[in-house]
Amino acid sequence: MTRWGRTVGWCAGLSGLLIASVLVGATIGPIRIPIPVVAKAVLNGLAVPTVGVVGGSGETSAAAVSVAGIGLDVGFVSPFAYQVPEPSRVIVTQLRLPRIVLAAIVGFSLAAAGTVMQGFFRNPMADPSIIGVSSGAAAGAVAFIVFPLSVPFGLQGMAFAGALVSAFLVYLLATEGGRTPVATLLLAGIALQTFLGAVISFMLLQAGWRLQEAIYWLMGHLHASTWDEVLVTLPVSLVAFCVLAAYARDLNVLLLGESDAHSLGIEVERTKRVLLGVASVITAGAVAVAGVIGFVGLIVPHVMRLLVGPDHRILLPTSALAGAVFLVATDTVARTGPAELPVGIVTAALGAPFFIYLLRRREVHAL
Amino acid sequence: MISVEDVSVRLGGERVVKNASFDVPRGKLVGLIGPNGAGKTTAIRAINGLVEPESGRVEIDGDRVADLSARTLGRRVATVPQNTSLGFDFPVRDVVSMGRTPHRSRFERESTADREAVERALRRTQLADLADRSIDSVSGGERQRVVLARALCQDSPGLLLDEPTASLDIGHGVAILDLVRGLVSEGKSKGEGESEDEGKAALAAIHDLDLAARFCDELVLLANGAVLAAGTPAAALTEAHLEAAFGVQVAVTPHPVTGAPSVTALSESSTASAASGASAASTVSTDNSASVAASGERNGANAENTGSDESDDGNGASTGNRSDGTSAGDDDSGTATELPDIDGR
Repeated sequence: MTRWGRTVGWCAGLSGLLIASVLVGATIGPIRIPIPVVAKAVLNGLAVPTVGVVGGSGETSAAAVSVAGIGLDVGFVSPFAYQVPEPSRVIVTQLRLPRIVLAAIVGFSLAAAGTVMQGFFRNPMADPSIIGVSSGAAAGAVAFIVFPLSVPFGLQGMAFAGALVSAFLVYLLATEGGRTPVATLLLAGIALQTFLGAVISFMLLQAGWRLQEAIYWLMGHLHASTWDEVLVTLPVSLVAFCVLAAYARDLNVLLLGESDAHSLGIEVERTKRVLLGVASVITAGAVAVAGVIGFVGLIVPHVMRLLVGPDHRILLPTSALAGAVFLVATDTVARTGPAELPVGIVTAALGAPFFIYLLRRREVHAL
Repeated sequence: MISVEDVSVRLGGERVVKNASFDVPRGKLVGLIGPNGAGKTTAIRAINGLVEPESGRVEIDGDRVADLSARTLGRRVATVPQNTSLGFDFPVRDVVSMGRTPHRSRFERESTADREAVERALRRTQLADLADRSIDSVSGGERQRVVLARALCQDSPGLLLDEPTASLDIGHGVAILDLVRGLVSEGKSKGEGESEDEGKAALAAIHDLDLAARFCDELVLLANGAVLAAGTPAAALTEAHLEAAFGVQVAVTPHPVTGAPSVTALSESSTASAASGASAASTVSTDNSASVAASGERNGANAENTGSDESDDGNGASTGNRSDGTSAGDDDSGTATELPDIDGR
């Protein structure tokens, strides 16, 4: 029960930190808005009952529409009615919060996927993009930007589809006779990434005046995020996370090696398929809306492993929450500099030195 | 309990197990012996479902292994692998409790029964004091005990051990086999009240022939993937069998302390002659000075009828008293199951 207590404690602490970082993040920007005003704006926006809609979204209209869409006529009651200046309300709920909440979801997803991939591959260098998901998303997105394509769900749809197609391709390449050796999977992933890198470079050459937009997407950004993106990404992320969490114990046993895991009653190949598939979906959901944001999925799990230990039952939820906090914080830095930076630059610029610090402490060698 | 029937396994195009048949009943510790590359590990992997036999049947409790889910299999047979590497730094108790995996469904929390099984396994393997240490901080011998404890809390009637003593010093090696011995003959002796079943069925690949002879009820000698001999240690460990399997001349003598057959490798196999018999006698005598007279006699006898199967009987007779401390009640020494294809290797 101590483990359960520790899990709850860590998750509660990190959730508190996440809420704090969201609120503080919302105060920061070209116009500073004091925390009490932000808090009031958020509380005003809360609508009860929420039918599986974003907590703290503050946007009742979109929620009401989506609910009416499935024929439910649920009345939304806002329990709070604080006096908030209209410009502040709009800035907080329509400009900053969607972006901040999306950053949290993306960080949450990438860190969860990274934790699973490192455990799955038993490799400290594994991250969510290792099976070609990010490259696939990038190829899809760049193709959409460069060529005048008309597809449903546009850029995000193309990126999401590209991510899943390439993950599936890597899986097919690595599978023989119903077995998917992890080492082959890793190499197939690298091969596909390299190939897609060539494809992306070629498309960029053809991009012409769209080059800047494509490059900007590739660097990973959360610019101009909307509640719609949040509403699409959040359910994907939460459902996928719940599946991964249900497999936390299997991940622990898989760390013993596949032979041992089998003799301990794990259907190894089926478990690998589920983990790969779900980790790909959660990564694809994140990458489709935010572009390629490096290092979150690599570093956050390492840091949390040092803090809470290797047991996935506690590591997976805490890593996911820490990833959310980390990306909210780095995105706040990214958008408040003299010129707005793609958040991918900030995560890499802050993450890499920290990673080197961990390496020098030798902690990462031991994995 | 475990039945291997005419099983062949092909790995990478080569048949590494050839038409092997043997049984492991409950309450028996069966040793799998043979030279490096004889197929011992592969045979074990065929039983726990890690490799699929090309032909033949591997059955556990009457069901084909291939038809069982990993979970059912995990409840019936526990495996102690040759080397376990756990990349991450788990506490000993957590590693042991992974043995409960086949007993819990995905959404089930740890039950009292689970916790009791883990604590019982920790006590049994004398790991209770180390339970909260990290797996990376314990010694090789302790690590092997951790893996054994993990297998114990699987609560399975079958137990497979792949070289459980390979990397251990003599003290730890004997301790592990003593423990396995106890698990196997548990029900027979007193049963400790916790379970009234008949003791486990255990199959152990063991490199050290003396340890195998001392602790096992029966031995299966593999050479080049085929079963060369099977039966009680006295029946299986004959000079003729061992020379055929290992390609080296050996002397088999009763161990002065345990009485179990003791094997000493002498030199490259050559046609047995009086000269080699003499050299054998001298080598053996330096090894166990306590039994100079006995071994001299044995070798002399051997020089007369080397290669003939009559040496079986000689062996059986001379080592018939081995059962005193190690395995009670096998009076069938000397009944070797000779397979027809000894020379077909």
